[in-house]
Amino acid sequence: MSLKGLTKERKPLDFWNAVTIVSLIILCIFLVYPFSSLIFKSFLSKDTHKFTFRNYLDFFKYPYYYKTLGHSFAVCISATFFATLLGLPMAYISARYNIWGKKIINVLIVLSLLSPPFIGAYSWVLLLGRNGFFTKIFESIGMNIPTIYGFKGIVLVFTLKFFPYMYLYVTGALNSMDASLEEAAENLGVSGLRRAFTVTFPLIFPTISSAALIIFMTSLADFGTPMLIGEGYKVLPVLAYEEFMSETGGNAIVASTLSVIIILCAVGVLLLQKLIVDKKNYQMSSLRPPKVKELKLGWRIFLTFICFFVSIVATLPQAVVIVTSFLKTRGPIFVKGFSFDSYKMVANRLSRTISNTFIFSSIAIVIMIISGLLLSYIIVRKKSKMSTFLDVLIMFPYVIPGAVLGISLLVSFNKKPIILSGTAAIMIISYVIRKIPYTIRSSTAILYQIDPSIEEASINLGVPPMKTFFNTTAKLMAPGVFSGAILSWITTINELSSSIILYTGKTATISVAIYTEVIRASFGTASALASILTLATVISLIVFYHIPGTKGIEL
Amino acid sequence: MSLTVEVKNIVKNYGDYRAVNRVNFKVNEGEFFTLLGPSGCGKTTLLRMIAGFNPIDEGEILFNGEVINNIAAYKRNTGMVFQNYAIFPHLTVYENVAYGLKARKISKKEMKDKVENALDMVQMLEYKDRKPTQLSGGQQQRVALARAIVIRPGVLLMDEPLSNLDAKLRIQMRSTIKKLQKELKITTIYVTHDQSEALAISDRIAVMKKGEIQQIGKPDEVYKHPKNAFVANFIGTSNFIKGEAAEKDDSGSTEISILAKYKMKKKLKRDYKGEVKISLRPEGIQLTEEKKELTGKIIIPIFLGDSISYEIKLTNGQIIEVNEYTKDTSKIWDIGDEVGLVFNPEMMSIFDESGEEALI
Repeated sequence: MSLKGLTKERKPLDFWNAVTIVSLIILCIFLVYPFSSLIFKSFLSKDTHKFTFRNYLDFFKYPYYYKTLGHSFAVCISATFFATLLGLPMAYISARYNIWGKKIINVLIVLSLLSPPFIGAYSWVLLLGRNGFFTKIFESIGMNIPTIYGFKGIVLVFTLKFFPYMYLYVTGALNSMDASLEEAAENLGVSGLRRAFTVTFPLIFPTISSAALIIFMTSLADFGTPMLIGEGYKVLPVLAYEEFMSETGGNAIVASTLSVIIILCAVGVLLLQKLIVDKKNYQMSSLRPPKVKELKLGWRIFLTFICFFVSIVATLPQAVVIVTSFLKTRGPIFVKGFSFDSYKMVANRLSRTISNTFIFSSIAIVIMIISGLLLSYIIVRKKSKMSTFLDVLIMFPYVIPGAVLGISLLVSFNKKPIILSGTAAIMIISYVIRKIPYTIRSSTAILYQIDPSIEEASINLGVPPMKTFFNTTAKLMAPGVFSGAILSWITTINELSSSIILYTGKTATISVAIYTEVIRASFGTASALASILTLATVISLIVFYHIPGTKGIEL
Repeated sequence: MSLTVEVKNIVKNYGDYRAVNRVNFKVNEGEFFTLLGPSGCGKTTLLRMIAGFNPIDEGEILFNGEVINNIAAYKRNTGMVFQNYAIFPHLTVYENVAYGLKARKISKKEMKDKVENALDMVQMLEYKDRKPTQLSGGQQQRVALARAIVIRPGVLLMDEPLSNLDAKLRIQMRSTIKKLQKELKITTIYVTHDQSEALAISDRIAVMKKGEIQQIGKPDEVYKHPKNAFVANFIGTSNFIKGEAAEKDDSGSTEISILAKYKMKKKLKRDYKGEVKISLRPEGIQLTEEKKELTGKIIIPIFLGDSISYEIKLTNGQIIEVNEYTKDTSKIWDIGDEVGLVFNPEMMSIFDESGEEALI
């Protein structure tokens, strides 16, 4: 059924066309232009500034460069593998068996997701690093534990940080599966693990693979963790960042080349996942929720213990950060006893970063909500070639690591005609571009569920189309827009990788300050800032869950 | 208050596909007019053009003689009942019904009276503070109806409103709709693919196929005198049997024979010789002990309470359906019984070989 009727009043430029055109112009300026110039730069010669493939050839010629590509893939594949190994069985256990304390496990797992990965890295350094808490305990009993730095450390941090994605996605899918499918398998004489591997997991394979994709992508994009814990083990984003910093004042040609390579990797992996999943997507109608199996006491205790152990280990970094923030410090050294010193220092020296974070993020989230509302409507209800193009453009930043986005924006807007480098505006722009996909995805998802005839009913009853949109459609969309916006908000206030490239002293945010404080070995203030960030995140979530009509976060 | 609706030469194209092809009809004031046809015949497209949701490619639509082609949907003052009800899920029953009145700026008191009156008419007044999620399908349907009639629309448009209800509720609702329509005297255009619903509810029916109107008429007209084989088949049940028309005799009658045995004389509309297509209603065939001309063998009897339905195999192998009313017969035939067949000439239509033209 065509919806053309909604735009029947043929004005030369109706509201939706105007929004489409304005959005396209804005996206061209802040997305297409920066990335085109990034690509363009990557083909420039360092010396003569003429067109060349030299930069790419160099990348694959010198081990210093190409090794990082191997490192990135090694880290991402291992992290994805181990996170799946951890998240998938845990999800299966919690969805299908009557272990104790499922709610607590869920809360712990969500909590463990709520901070930027590099804070996890830094916590593990505090625990298992050279002067780490556990390292010292083990040393005192004459044991040497393997080093946390380098490849193993990065994989450990990523695994523990990102397995919640797998857990949350898969529990969702397992709970919405119809009971009859597993019962049919059982009826045919297949049960237990065999059933899980022949029926359950194949059916939710699309979900498993999208979770794996997210884990891979976030591992590939993350820059803080390998920076803090990688030491000599360099991955692509770290190299890009270092090259960019050393090229500052210069022209960022090597950094551009590296950025393009990172984007190509990300897009390649995304397409690969799509290719695999497209053939394996099943429509399932869920009528009866699956049964939860009663376990024998021994198994019940054992599986409960395992799940709690994993979730507590995953939440440990948060606990470490909070405890550390209350420790007494003298300079970079912790001394015995508790105090608010670190918070006082933050208040004296770093309060600006807090206000920056919330001012920038608030402006960004307002822009994201308004554009999310309007753009998702265009994408879903005003289908045309233009709107499809708009959709692709908006979703593109989803696969772009923050550092790459930061580099491309800075490279493009540090000279005339538009100079934005060092301003709050460039930070906000990068937040909006990078985080709006969450809001848009969730808004389009809810709009697809709203029957177009609801809008037609309103128009039919005498309410003009625009008024219908704001009075009725927008209200019905609100829960979806907000559940996307909360993800955008949380990831924005925790954003590090583009901020670290775009910030100046005046525009530093909490994440940036945590990072720089960690680098300066000022662990107390770093922890205090990280605790503030976690608290802000938790408060945001609580507020969100109290907005009427919102159901939960759309991952 | 109510309007006449006139559709003149209406065309709607979707790319190369012509969904509605030069349709013409006029709905009188207060009339219950039904567009009936199989899915994809263009009936919903046409209804949505009248509502203003689909642009008109060619032709004109007139309300009370005035062309409304360029009037926006929200200004047409039509009341539409959607197939899936389209109840606003975030509003209560009362707010749903009041929605259209709010756009019309009337006093609070008047609004309350009108809303409550409309809800009362559909027996939903006691549910006025409920949210739509707390209502059954049938109740949502009643709210949708109240919401459409409360604005006193010039024409009430209904798009398969009963198709999502169960059989019993459907029959109950269709009499509710009909009574309400007669009481309020609202011009109504109703879309359905269910022929029995159309026969039951309409003043007139337009049977559509592939974007074109096949026949417009009162329910008994289209049932008894279908204009072509498609209508005969679509409305009610028809057994199609081949016949042979001979040369017209001196009295002006044509002899038509079926399976070379059964012969009858008919006055045809025009001279016609050769193969004809005969449509026989299942209730227009009588089963007899006496096996004179045409005979058949009972394949299966199905007892339906008020009637008995038989599948009968003719001597040429064709299987036909025959209904006998329980009150008219004491005998129930058994599988394998040989029976004689007598046709009721009143319940018979004769078409040319292609089935496009009615010959009587």
